[in-house]
Amino acid sequence: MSAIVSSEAEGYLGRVRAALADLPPVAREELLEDLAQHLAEVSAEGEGSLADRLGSPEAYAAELRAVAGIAAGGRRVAWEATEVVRRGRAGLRAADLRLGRLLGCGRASDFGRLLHPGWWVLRGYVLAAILLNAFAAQSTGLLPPNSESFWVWLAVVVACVVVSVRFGVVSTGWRRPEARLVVAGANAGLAVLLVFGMFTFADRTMFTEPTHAYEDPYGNTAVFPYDEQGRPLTGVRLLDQNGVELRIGGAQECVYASPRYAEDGWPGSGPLAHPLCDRPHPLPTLAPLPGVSASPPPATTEPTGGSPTATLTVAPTR
Amino acid sequence: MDTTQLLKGVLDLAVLAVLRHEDGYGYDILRRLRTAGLAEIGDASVYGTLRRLFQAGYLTTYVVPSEEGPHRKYYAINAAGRDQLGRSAKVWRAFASTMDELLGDEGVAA
Repeated sequence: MSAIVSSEAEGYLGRVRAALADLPPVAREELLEDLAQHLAEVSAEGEGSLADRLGSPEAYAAELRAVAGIAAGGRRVAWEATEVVRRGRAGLRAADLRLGRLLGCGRASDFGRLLHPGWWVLRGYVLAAILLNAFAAQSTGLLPPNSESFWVWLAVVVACVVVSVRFGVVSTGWRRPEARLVVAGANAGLAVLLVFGMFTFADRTMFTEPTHAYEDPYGNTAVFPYDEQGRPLTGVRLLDQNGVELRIGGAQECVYASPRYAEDGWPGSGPLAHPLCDRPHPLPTLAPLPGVSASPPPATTEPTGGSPTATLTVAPTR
Repeated sequence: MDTTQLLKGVLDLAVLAVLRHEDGYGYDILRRLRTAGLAEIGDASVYGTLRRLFQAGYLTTYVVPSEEGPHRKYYAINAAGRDQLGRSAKVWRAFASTMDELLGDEGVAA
């Protein structure tokens, strides 16, 4: 009999607890503190089920809540806010640990700490670039100038790196939150400037490159000029529509077109493909133009002295 | 008129009053209140009130082992609780007499 009663009481208690599940555990158990005793008293006293005499467990829970009053409600909101923060922190800690395991160094934040000195050096470099670009006549972005002011640039960079590292060592010991916030903000600002500096660097290479490299719209990688009799021309310079010298052929094509590669199938430091590199080996032969008196083309030997020099102007169809 | 609505305002006073002469455990206090005539009082309300009064520092508790069933937690009123009871009783009497006069003047049948 008592076993049945206690199991009924347990069931009732469980349902009340479930109805209070949204409360923080401590507050919930506080509300339920006396309930087991009370249910035992009620059960011992008389007939009828607990629900008959006390109402439904859910209604009982609602009454407990109501009596606990506004204070409990306020605490609940505060609890939910702290719970969100607590869960967020726990999630970050778990991610920290998991990433650390991936990197093989305990915690990812430990690894981040190892990177601090590296950032201090980089930060000094960025700082130097800012100073130099602010005072220099011509902006060089993050790159060193290739003029005589290189030594000035180097001196400023070294000085800034030293200052940055020393500041990093000192500021690591700072504990006041506002001081740490200022340092973090300055670091973030410099990191943003670093990214911008990289973009300007990329821009510069994009703008300067086209004057040296010519990209053929048909995907050609080399041009071999021949004269009207079908003889390959040497000493030829090709210009594009802007009068800029044409330099077709990447270094890779040059290597594969080199005579040494043709001989032993091994890319070497032989002469490069034309016009950027030397001619390929063996050189293709070409029939003379119709109506031109054919003089036998020197297929394998270089035309020596008095070889014709021509200048072609190419207007690519872009 | 719903008695439970009225009870909400005076539950603290009622619980302090029944503990004035004798300590009691939760169910015991509930029985005393019901016997005194507050039949509509809810079980959970009494327990919630006891807890609130304890947290406010008006009650002390002690546990008495029980041979049948769980241990009983007894509540006892302390000095601060008696002060509070005196203040609340004054407020209640003033309020009740005001209401009595109000109803008496109108000649409403009791």
